[in-house]
Formats: sequence, C-alpha cells, structure tokens
Amino acid sequence: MSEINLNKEDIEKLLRVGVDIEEKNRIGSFLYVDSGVYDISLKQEGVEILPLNNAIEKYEYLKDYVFKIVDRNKDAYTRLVARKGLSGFFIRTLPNVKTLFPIQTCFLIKKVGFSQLVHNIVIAEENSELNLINGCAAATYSDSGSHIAITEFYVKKGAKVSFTMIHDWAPNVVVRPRSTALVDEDGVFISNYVSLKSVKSVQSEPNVYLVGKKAKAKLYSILLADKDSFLDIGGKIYMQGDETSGEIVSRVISDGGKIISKGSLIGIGKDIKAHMECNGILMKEKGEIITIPELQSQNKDVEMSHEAIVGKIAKDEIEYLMSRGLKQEDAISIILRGFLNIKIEGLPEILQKSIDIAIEMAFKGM
Amino acid sequence: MEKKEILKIKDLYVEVHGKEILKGINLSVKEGDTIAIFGPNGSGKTTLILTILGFSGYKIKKGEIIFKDKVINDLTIDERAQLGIGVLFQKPPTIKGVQFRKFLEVISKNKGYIDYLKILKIEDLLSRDVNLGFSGGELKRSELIQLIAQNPDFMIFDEPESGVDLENIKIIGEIINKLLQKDLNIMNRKKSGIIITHTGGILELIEVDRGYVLFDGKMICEGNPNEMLRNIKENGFQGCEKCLK
Repeated sequence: MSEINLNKEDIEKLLRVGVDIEEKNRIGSFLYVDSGVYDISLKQEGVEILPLNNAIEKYEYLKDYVFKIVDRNKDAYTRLVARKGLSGFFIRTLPNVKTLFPIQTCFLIKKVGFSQLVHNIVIAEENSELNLINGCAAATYSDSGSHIAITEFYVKKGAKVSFTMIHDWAPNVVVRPRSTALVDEDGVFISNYVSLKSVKSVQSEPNVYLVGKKAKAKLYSILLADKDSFLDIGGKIYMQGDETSGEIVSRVISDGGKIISKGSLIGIGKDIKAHMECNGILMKEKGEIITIPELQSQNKDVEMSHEAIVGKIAKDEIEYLMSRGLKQEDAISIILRGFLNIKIEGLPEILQKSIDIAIEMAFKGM
Repeated sequence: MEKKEILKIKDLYVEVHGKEILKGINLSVKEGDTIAIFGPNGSGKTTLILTILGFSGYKIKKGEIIFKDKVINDLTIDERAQLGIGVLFQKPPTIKGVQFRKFLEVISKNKGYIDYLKILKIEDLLSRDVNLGFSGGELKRSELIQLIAQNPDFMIFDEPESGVDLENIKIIGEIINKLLQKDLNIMNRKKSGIIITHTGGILELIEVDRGYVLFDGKMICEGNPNEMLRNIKENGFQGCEKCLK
C-alpha cells in the first residue's frame, strides 16, 4: 500500500510500543507511517478496519460520528486536523461480537520534523467487546516532529472498549492527542496511557461522557518524564447517567522533567461512584510534579474521593533491597518498576503484559 | 582447634542524628557460633544491627567492624550483603508492585530455597507484592525465605519471635536452627549468627553459645545465655547493671 519501507530499527521500535509484527496475538492491524496507511490486516469476522476516508465514502451514516463528540473548534490542534482532512483508522465491532485478542494500531513518524495529523473513529456496537493497543513512535534517527490525533470512541449499550496507548517518541516531538468517548448504558471504556521515553511535550485530556445508566470509565496513566520532557496528562469523566462510575489513576515519575497530572470527575446523575488517585515520585531536585484533582457534584447521592501522594523514593525500601545484595541502582529500578506496575481491572492479560514489557524496556540501561 | 573469628567489633562508637547511641562496643563472633544479645528498648540493639549492615544515618565515630578479616566500615550495604551478611528484619517495609516470586528469583544465589516454600507455607504469598498485607507470622516467614534464598554465612535475627503466634514460632525456630546448621556437629558448623531478643522466648527453641546484655550503648554482661535470661526475668535489666561494677 505504501512506498515506505520499515527497516530493522523501525521494527524494533514498534516492538517496544507493543506492536506484534507477526500478529500472533492480534486479530488485526492498522499501521500508519507519516501521512499514509502502511498496512491493514484483519483475521476476525464481525470487525471492520478501514482508513477513515474510505469508510466515510462507504458509509453515509458516519457523518453522524465524525466531529460529533470532539468539537472541531476546540483548539488550534482540532482545527488543524479538521482543515487537513480525514486520515486515520475506522474500527467497528458489530453487535455481540466479542474479540478475544486485541487489534493493534500504530502511528510511526519517519520523516524528520514531520507533522502527523490523524483522525480516528472507533465504534463498538451493542454488547460487543473491542481491545485496542495503539503504539506510537518516531524512527530512531528522527528526533523531531509532531503528532496530533483526534479519536472519537462510541461505546454502545453493553459494549466494552479498552484502548491502551504506548508511546515512544523522540526528544523533540510534540504530541497532542484529543480523545473523547461516549458510553451508553452498561458500557465500559478503559483508557491507558503509557509514556516512559523522552518526548518534548505531550498534552492530553481524554473526555468521557457516561450517558447511559451504569456506564463505567477508567483512565490510567503511567508516566516517566526525563529532564527534557513535559507531560501534561489529564482526564475528564462526565457521569451523566445514574449509577455510573469513574476512576482516574496515575503513577508518575519525574526523572528531572515536569509532569502535570490532572483529573476531573463530574457527577451529574444519581448514585455515582468515582475515585481518583495520583501517586508521584520525584527522582531529581530539578523535576516537578503538579497534581490537580477535581471533584464536582450536583447531587447528594454520590460517593466521590481522591488521594494524591508526591514524594521521593523511600530510602528504607532501597536499603532493604540492598541488604539482600542488590546494588543501589538495581534496588531503585526494582522499586520504580513496582511503583508503575498497576493492575488494571478489566484489561485483558495480554495487554497488561504489553504494559509490563514497556515498563521493563524503559528501565533497561537506566 | 581454635575456631576462626567471622565478626569482630572493636571499640565502636556510633551516632544517630547527632546523638551518641553506641558507646564503645566490643564483640566477637566465631565461625559456627550463635550469640544472643539482650537489652531493653532504647539500649542500642537496632543501632548495632543497622550499623553492622551499613544503613544510612548510623555514623561510626570511632572503632572498627571487621568481617571475614576485612574492615567493612566503609562498604555499602550491598557489598556487605555480598560478603555474606544477612538479616531478618523485625519490621520489613512493603515493596509495592513487586511480585514476591520474582523478587526471590532476583535475590537468590541458587534454587535451593524452592524446597522451603512448602515448609514455610509461603506458596500462597508468592503472587502477592513483597510484604504487602502480610500478617506477623507471614512477615517472619517471608524474611526467612529471603535469607534462605540469599544464603549468607552470617545472619542477624532481629526479634524473630515478635508478633508471631505459637504455631508460627515453632516453624521459625526450626528454620533458624537449620540456617545456623544446628543439625551439624558443633565443630562442623560454618554459619554464624546474632539473635536479638528482649523477651528471650525464642531461646527455648534455638541453641545459643553465648549471651550478651546491651544497656545504654554498652555491652555490660557476657555469659551463659540461659542463666542470663533467668537473671533478667527475675531482676530485670537493673540486675545486669551490677555487672558493670
């Protein structure tokens, strides 16, 4: 489909962000390089993967989904994507289709300084299940560029969507994801964002609208910022339906960089449960962590809480591990990996493993 | 044949947060020997252990710690562990997100510990985070399996009986005896240890060669551990103060 060839280094980098080149444990793939689709494959019935522009030509109904929950005038980035046209993926599961293995999507920047603009649409029809792993990376030689991506998720009644993003950009890449999810009755939306490698700046705040009764959303972030990185990661969950629940969890480490960890839980319906936690570790004097938790309720029948802990790595833990014969740097690495290691309830084991591997890789040679 | 000295402490003065805690400690442990150190709270037992281990905040003002004929005053904690010093902590920290099973694999010198997983009833704990939510008995068993995995020549047991029920204390006693090679003839034992205790209860289960009393940063008595313990039970540590004179 594309003139671009992936070299050995590209493939290695893709492996690091969870892309399974052999597709053994994947039911489908969507690989996008710079501004074009590189490859699409699909092994399961009841699922569709198309480039978004082709899908719009094919399905008239899509006009009701494009720029419906993301405002094209939200900011300069959404306007830019809206102006430049629609390229990215369209993924849909048909009603009652439950996919066991994930679909992988991948965005790679190969051209130095390239500005990648993407628009994606995900639709999980009623009672279907879809697990996505989205690996994003810049080629090893490319140290600059930008990635601006709008993703609109539609989670219908009883459906479940998990979206695990693992990013491995480059020190001068600017990243602006703009994601929004609309979740119907009994629907579940899980979003995991993993960024452990150097990147100039990421600013992301997925918005989730739980419109149906008993809808659920979980937003997890696992972040490591080195001295050159600035990560501004948040999440907003609007709990409009009754008995909806929202959870925002982040584990962040500043290794000299700046991290803003935000979260807003907005209770509108009745009998809502919501919880937010942000734990941060500062490794160096120069780093900075700012946590901004926000709870809002317009109703008395809610159970909402947040907790935040920011501090340095516990010395008694380091010394405990050293007394078992581990070198100081190994002890620190084990503790930090453990700190980032959160079990995400409802996430398939295979995706949890991809996150674990990304964490292991990030600490190799640190 | 005279046994070799494995640990020797010479005239050790230690400060913590600018306050002198140890005031001229002398101590010698021979290869294959086990000693017990008694002492009331605040006498300096913990300071002594953590100074031997090399923990931060324990500043040696004077004196030497010699282990296997080498002055270890300036060695890091891990270097001392690699030389063969191991410890059973009284209150070990929790290491969140680190699976106990994986941790044992990382610290183990060989696979010998696997046979002890069942004996120490630790199999159910393996998939949990290190020490997270462990009961008193589970913590001690966790510490013991770590010591077995590490296989040190010299072991410090800090209050091994504290917070442990009767059923657990029996297993703990058996394993400590095993670690200290109490099943071997006295001349063939190579492993040595220090048992820190203030109740002395564990001594009913473990055979100890010599006892010491630490009081206000000084070793004030040395002798037969069982006699000393009986004395302490009858007269309290005040009785030991008379030894000073």
